[in-house]
Amino acid sequence: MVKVYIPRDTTALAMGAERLAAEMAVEAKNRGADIEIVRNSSRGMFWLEPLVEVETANGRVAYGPVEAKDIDSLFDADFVNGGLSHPLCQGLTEEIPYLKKQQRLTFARAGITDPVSLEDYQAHDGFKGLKKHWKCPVRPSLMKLKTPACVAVVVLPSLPASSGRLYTMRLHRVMLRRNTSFVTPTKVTPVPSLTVWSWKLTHSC
Amino acid sequence: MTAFNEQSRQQVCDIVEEMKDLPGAMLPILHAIQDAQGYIHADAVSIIADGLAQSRAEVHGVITFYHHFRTTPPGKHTIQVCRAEACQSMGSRQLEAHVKEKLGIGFHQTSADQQVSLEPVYCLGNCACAPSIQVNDDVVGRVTPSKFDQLVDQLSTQALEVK
Ligand code: FES
Ligand code: FES
Repeated sequence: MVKVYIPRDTTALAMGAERLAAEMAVEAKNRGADIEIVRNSSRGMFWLEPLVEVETANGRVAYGPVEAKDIDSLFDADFVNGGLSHPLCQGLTEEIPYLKKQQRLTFARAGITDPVSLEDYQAHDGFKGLKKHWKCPVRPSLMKLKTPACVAVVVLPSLPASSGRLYTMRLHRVMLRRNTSFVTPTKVTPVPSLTVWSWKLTHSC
Repeated sequence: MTAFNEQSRQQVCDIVEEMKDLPGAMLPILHAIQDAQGYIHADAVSIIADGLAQSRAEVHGVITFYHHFRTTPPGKHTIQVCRAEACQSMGSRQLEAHVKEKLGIGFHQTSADQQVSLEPVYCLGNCACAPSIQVNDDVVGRVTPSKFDQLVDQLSTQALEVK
């Protein structure tokens, strides 16, 4: 199964990513191509949106800006295997000069992870800070965490460390559609109580 | 104007009851009502004011301060045209003129067949692919007059299919 990335952030959607993803899935089926479409966030190269990326052994190969009318020719050019001959092919994503010369910190994983996959999040160092925090003997009473848009981690600090429990919840689908960028700061404010689990989630931008 | 019947009144009461204890409850309540009913009817104002223990003038002030809130029913579709800086630099003024001519209405107006309401908006967060418009819930980037015409034609085709 080949992973094909089609962003779902505002700009990609505004440039037709939704229709593109739907039609690509249909065409893949028609051609018997075994692909998994991942809706990531944008890499930030908006002039190339929708930027379609295909996972290959050498890294991700980028095509953009792709419109629904390009789907046929992409399959013909073997984009599923990272074919380089298509006119929209931008080569390896990481080698695109705009991206290559940047040092990304807070945006380091933007567009790379699958925002709705907890496994993928963990594979990219997700929860590391949380784990570290959990071992720390003195915990702050209020936590503000940066988490992927779909998963909020709620720590109830009023509980003794021995009960060591993490509560995760899936946010509403509407939020998912609206913002799939994992860098969206999500402020999680737990309301400490031993009987009721309540919390407040606010997207702070 | 469509009637503010018993059912809509009840819906407003339910929304107010459910949300009035949120911190800063006014905006979430107004959003919820507009999302459910399409606009905020004049009769909803006193219900909101009572629920929040504020004056009707205060509620009215908030509703009229934010352009997002409307006090008349919208058309079947709402089209928002971005008028902020990035879009202006990419030709949104010409686009705006085209839009008004194509639809035959100005901003804050609804077409006679109740199909389309036209609203201005100030940045849709899509500056990189300006000029932008929003058609119902979808932002559309790099809009040209011909792309706009296509979008509107699609809207009316869909409307016909529904019947
Ligand atoms: S100025 Fe129009 S989208 Fe930002
Ligand atoms: S200022 Fe318009 S998208 Fe950022």
